[in-house]
Amino acid sequence: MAILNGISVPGVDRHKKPKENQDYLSFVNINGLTILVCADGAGSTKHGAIGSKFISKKLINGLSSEIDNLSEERFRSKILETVNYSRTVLARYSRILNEDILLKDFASTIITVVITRKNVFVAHLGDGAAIFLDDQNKLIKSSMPENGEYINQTYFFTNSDWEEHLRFQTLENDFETCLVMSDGVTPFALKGTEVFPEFVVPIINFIRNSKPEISKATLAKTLSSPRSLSVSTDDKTLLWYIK
Amino acid sequence: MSDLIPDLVLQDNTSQRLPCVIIVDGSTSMNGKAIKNLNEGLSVLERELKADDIASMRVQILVIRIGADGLRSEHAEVLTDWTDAIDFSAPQITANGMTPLGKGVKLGLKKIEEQKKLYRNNQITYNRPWMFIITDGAPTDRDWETAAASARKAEEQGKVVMFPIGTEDANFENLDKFSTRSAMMLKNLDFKELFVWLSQSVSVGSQTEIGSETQLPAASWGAVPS
Repeated sequence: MAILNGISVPGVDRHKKPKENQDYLSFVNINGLTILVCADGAGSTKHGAIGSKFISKKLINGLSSEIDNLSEERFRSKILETVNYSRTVLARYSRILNEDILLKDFASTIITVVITRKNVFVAHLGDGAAIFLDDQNKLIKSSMPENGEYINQTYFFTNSDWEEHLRFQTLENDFETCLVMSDGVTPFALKGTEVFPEFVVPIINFIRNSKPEISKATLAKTLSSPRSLSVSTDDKTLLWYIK
Repeated sequence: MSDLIPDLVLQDNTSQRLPCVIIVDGSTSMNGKAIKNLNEGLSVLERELKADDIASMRVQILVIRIGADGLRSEHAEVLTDWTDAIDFSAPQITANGMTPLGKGVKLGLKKIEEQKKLYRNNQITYNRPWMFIITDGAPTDRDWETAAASARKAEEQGKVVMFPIGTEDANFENLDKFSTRSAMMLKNLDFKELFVWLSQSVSVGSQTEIGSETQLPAASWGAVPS
């Protein structure tokens, strides 16, 4: 039976104080079919945390209702439909609630991975990454981050051109490990478009050999450690599906 | 037993860089206290950056001096070519010549574009480049307004962030033309405080997160001139 789980830890501000975690993770297993969602709310926005939570929940709910009959085409249309619906609701909400709040204040990236018996469907907008490894922990497939010209720029579902940057992939379900991560984790896990095994492999081994609660607690502590924060002060989210 | 995951390597694999051009005024009018303080300030910058674990690895510095060389009274030269902050050694600025700010800025913009090309070729990620202009006077070169317009346009296009800074005697009306934002006034030739702020600012800039804007520390060394 596969190991499915995830953690999300908050980053720190420039005074080294913990800040509100604007990442949000969701995962669900229904009849052996799995959905993982990682959304990263933009740090500069007023309500990035709400945006990431809202879109994650809508994606999980929308896809869960159709998981038994999910084709590539249906996955694609369900993602588009859910993002459009979320944009409409959040825009309306912002108009009703307060004139100072705009849709862009809910900015968030999205990574959605659906693992069916035969296929894996991926929808990815912005940064963060989804990586798929074989039984030797070698990278066999991936969905890599998309940044703008500058490292601190990326794309959000609240952008007017979000559809241009939404990337879909359909893969064969022939992997051993799937890791989905926010941009707080990618500096450790990736080196360019390759996996950095010195980070990824010890984590996979630890998860395989530990109870779920121990895995989560130890990984959270590791990603919140001073050494980790000296590299990235960002929120850090990691989801795993290990066969 | 450690309560962290054993044998895990936590290292920054991004090679992220913040390119930072510093244009310093080496004109004759800087002679005396101003040039002495400027040189001390650059040494402070070196020390502060090297003491900052993240900035020392991410910030890259290029120093341009404007003033005279052996032949010309208006010249812009690269004193320190692109170097990681960890390897930065403060150059000694001499005071001699005019204030060809336009030439300095033009050279700075060219060096930024060259460096960005290098980053892209080597798949190195980078932040929006920063350019500081530090002067005690007014531009004297004939084409300075063209260079100022290029700097403003580059800033509007998101290619660079400009920071024009003048001492109390500087011509702020002209300095303002180099940026979409107002130039800052350095009070009492306090270059040490200026360079402490500059090192703190580039440190913050080099750690800017996705989607967030850089919030710079307060500039205790100066003010926006009235």
